[in-house]
Amino acid sequence: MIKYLRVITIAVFFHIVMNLFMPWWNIFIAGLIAGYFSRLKVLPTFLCVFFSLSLYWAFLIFNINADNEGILARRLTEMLSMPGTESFMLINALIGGLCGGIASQLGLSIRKLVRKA
Amino acid sequence: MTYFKPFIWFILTLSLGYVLDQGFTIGDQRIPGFGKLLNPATGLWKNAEDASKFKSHTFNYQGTDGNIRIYYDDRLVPHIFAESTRDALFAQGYVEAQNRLWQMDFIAREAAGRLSEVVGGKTLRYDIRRRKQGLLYGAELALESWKKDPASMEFLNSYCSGANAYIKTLKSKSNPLEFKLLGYSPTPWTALQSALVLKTMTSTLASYNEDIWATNTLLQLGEENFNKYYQVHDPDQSPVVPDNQIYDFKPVLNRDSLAERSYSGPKLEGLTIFKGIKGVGSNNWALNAQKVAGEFPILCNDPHLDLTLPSIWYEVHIVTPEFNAYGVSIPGMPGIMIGFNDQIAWGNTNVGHDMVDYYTIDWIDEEKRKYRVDGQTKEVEIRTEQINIRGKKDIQLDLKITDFGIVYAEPEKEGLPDIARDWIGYKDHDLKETTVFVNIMRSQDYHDFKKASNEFFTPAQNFLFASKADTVAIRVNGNLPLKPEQDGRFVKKGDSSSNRWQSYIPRKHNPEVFNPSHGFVSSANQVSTSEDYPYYYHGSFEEYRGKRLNEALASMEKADVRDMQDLQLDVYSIRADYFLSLLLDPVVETEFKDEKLEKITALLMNWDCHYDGTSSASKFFEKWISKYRRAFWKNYFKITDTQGLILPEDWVLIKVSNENPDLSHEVVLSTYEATAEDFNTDELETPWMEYRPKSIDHLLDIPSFSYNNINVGGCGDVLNAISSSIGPSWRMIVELDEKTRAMAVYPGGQSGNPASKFYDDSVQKWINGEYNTIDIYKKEDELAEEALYSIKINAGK
Repeated sequence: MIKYLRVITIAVFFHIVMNLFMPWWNIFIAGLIAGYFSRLKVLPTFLCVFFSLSLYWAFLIFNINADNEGILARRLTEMLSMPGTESFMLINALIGGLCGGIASQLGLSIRKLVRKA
Repeated sequence: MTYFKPFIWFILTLSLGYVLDQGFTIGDQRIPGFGKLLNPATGLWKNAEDASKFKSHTFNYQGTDGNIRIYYDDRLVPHIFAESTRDALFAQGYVEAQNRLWQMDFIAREAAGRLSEVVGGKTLRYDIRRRKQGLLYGAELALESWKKDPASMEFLNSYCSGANAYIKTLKSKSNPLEFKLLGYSPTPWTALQSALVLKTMTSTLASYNEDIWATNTLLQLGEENFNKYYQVHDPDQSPVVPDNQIYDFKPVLNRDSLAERSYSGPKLEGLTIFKGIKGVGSNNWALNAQKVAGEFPILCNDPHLDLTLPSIWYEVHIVTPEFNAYGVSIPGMPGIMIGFNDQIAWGNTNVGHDMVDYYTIDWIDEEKRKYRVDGQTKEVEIRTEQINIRGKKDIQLDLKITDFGIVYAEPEKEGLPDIARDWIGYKDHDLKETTVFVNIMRSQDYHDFKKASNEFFTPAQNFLFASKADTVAIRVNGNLPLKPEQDGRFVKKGDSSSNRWQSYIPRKHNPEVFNPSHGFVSSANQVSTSEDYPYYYHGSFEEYRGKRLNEALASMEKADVRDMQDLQLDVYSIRADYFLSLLLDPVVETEFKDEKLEKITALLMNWDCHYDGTSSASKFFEKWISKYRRAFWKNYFKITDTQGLILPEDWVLIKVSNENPDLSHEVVLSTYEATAEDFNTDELETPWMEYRPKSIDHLLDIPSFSYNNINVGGCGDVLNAISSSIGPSWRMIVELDEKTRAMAVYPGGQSGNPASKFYDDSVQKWINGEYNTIDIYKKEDELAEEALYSIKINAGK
């Protein structure tokens, strides 16, 4: 359990901190770091980072959307021809998860390389 | 193998990151980087405004005269309190950038022909046309002449500093939404960009011309017909300056002093020419105390401009120890363009005088660098403009500047001349343009107002005035080219310097009405004067609205605000009434034995000539009249096609139709039946609003950023002049009672941010014909208490 929590915490923590001063692509770095320090196998690492970062994005998006009374979500959903605001926001969150998830695999493979060396 | 896996993941991560950051291009279509846009902490979500929480803030700024306080009210209108005019303009620049920065950038960029820089190749042709129209050239010239007078530049500089104080606070994640969507960043606001905003106004309001088409019409119909059917003045007109005005001055140019100057070669067909926009106009009027129930003047104005989101107007309230003014500005320009203070009120409508002329160029060399003027060789001035195109190689555009303007059309067809376009927008002058709307808002009486507005160069406007001293006045203000009879109506020969504009009508001779005995002044884009005015002019004028307005105001007694609202929302058409009384008789007398035609006849007979949104007769009438107009003139002039020609004005059509009842009768019936064929029986009941603009569009034409389904009536020649995408963009009524009262509305919202509830919050009110109430006497602490939030700018040490 602790192994899972470790990956999730690293991914979300680094993303939150880097969001303060770095451009959007810091999510890759957060995923990479989480992958590097992961003690899990390939798939669990990916899933942990993917879901934790997706959830974090979803949390932010749904919060912002509630305060905004849905104005932006409505306009973007229509602009991108998405079926509904909820599904748009969900897909939006999953994009973040995917970025982190892919980068976590890079982190994991670097770690393996380092260990072998 | 050891490095293979990391390498694959590395490539995958990098590619995903790159595509989601930079986006990609398919053809000319740019797909933005969605990762960048969709990160909730930095992307578009960062622009989603909290609908209920607003944060006040304070900062220090070195360079202001004193402390500035800004309170945003519940419609996000800023109430600015400043110790000096300079500081007030600093604050105006700050709030306009805060709320409308992308719009300001876009408008200046569009004018300068710099869209391709951010959009890519698909706007290149548009940019080239804009460059050739000379807006950037004109803006640079204007800026140079403003700089000659440092005192007048001071206002503009304060405005720019204020805008830049805000722009400096932006980080990439806080950039306005459209910057993120288009993938570029704001740059500091410059005086040149303000000049470009003014040039856009000039381009919109003082570019309409028919020179090429009038020339072709003259060539086809001959001079006799042209002089007979294409007169400038309708004998039944109701001009801005009433007919009884006496012009007791000697003109500086005799209007009959004309030699043969026009082009007389083959018809000018297939040319790419900028015709300008027709239909942008406005209404304004002021009643003095004798006409009003409450015994104080009332002033009203509704400028008809492009209806867009963000709106062209921005509402602002400015209080200094010197004045207390309220009204609307055009973001990017300091001062209040239409508004009032606690002594006076003012407004504008456009003056339709022709401000564009075309000339044929008589080239000497094949490279088109030398041309002939007065028998001498002259060389063009080459102005090289660089156009940056996103994702592509930049291009250089050589503008050829002649004594007759910028060479605009270079037709490939054998025998056709190259054409240069001369435009008021890039004429030299030494007026203090940048001070006009600043000094107007400081004015306390007509003397101040006239002095301030006298510095206005272009686009010429009917400057309307009313004051608590019971003065009402209107003055055609701006430079009006001095022209002999018929000059500038047709393409002229660019081989003689005497064919150029020689000068302007001396400002003191500009048409003006001051406290007329009938108690009101008004304008609605009709001709400025009767034919007694000693100077010649022609242009694009709308007679019916002015006539309707003047008749309504003349018959009004003890007018009140309700009457003013009714007038601004009035949809009765004199033109439709004139036409129907002419066209309907032959139709009624004919037995069609066709159910659809009978139904249409019944619709028209019961129609009260009001373009209500729900009216179903107006759509049929409009289509019928345009068919009738073309068919009648085709028959009358015995020509096969009216394509490429201008047709006589509708008042001429009505007159000539009356004089030729047989022809009119025949054309009425044939066009009536032809029009009926265009409609299915089940379409007959479709209301007029279905044929009206259905949306107020975002400047980038993004449907989800637009306000859709605006069910409105109106028409170009009725007072509530909603047509195509143009309409009453600010309806204002000001009562100059002891304490000024005002109400106004514009179809938009104060915020330019599509993710704000203040983006379009007044549109529905505008559709419903409702107004916002304005109070300029609220005390500062009361405003502070009610404010959504406030900004305090402390003079830094």
